[in-house]
Amino acid sequence: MTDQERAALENHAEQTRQLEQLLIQRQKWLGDASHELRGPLNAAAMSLNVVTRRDDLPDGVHATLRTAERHLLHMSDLVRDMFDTAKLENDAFELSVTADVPVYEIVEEIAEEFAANREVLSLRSVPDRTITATLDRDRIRQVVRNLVSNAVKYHQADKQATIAVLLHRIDDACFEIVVDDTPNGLGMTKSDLEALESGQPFWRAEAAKTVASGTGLGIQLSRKLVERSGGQLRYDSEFGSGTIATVQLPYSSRPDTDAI
Amino acid sequence: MFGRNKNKFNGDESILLVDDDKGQLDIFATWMIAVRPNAYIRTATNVRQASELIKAHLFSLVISDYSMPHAGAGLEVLRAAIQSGLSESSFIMLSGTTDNLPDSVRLVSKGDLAALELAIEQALR
Repeated sequence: MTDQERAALENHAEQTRQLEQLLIQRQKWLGDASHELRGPLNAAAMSLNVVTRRDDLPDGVHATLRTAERHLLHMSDLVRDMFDTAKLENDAFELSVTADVPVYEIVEEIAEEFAANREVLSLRSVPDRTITATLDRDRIRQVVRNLVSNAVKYHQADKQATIAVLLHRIDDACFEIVVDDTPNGLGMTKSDLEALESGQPFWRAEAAKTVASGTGLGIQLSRKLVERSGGQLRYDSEFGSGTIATVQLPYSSRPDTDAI
Repeated sequence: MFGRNKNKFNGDESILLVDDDKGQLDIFATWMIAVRPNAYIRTATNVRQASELIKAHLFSLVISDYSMPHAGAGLEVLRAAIQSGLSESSFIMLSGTTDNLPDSVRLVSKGDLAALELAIEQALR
């Protein structure tokens, strides 16, 4: 090897080191910025929550404060989703995979969380309690929470939500988590489903915009998180009836970097 | 310091809240009093302060931020709690996501009040 070739190699190694440092810094910045932005939003929402727990507020005041609290929490979720999306798109995102996660616990936790929601008529969870998997527990919980949250929000105007969350084995390699909001769900048209599949962030079905606030980030983020985990997220839907969202995951999640 | 029944500390429900932002921590403590009006609430703004309180007192529940200010500081509070005999199921970590967190520790996103209230209820059952 000539001196010139050796110098070129050393230069290349130094550039690689500098790029790796920049990637680490960017990942840290995305995490820190999300944390710092959400902190004050959460504190304000918590303050409002303290007040709205009182039962001596005039109805109008109570409703206004509850609306303000919901908007703050919504903004906090939006910040989280935006930074998670940025991390995924910049490849500054790593799954934190744990072995032998009891998946039914995720399903039951989320079902319990939403069961008392005033928008919900019934929320039934039917988990196969034998299923354990190697996966990022927090991210899969985030996905299931997003799907159930959407099922709670997007129901027909004159009805409450009826939701079933199922967990069952498909074969020796995969299992499924199904969130079914039929027959009282809002549902999506064929063109909605096509637009959803295109993967555009911030896309929302027209009918959904009239029912509840949202950004459309969560639905795309969920898909990316599932794909990162080596799985698939698919939707079967009928407008005016509801949506069946199915998360298919392998028992052992191997991060799929090509999914981004 | 917050709470209504100081004399019940070490006897009944006692909760330690840990966050490096004093303003947010005070709001958190006020919220906690609204959620668990009979609990005795103590607060700490850093890992050292939290560790000292955990060594000195028996808590029913510890709730800690994960980033204080660096990511992972909450794990040091968790280690101190476990060393003092607290079970992992009596610890709640506030964060979107973390690395190296035992499965039995509850993780709640910091702005998710409904999930936090449920996690507190489950931990204190």
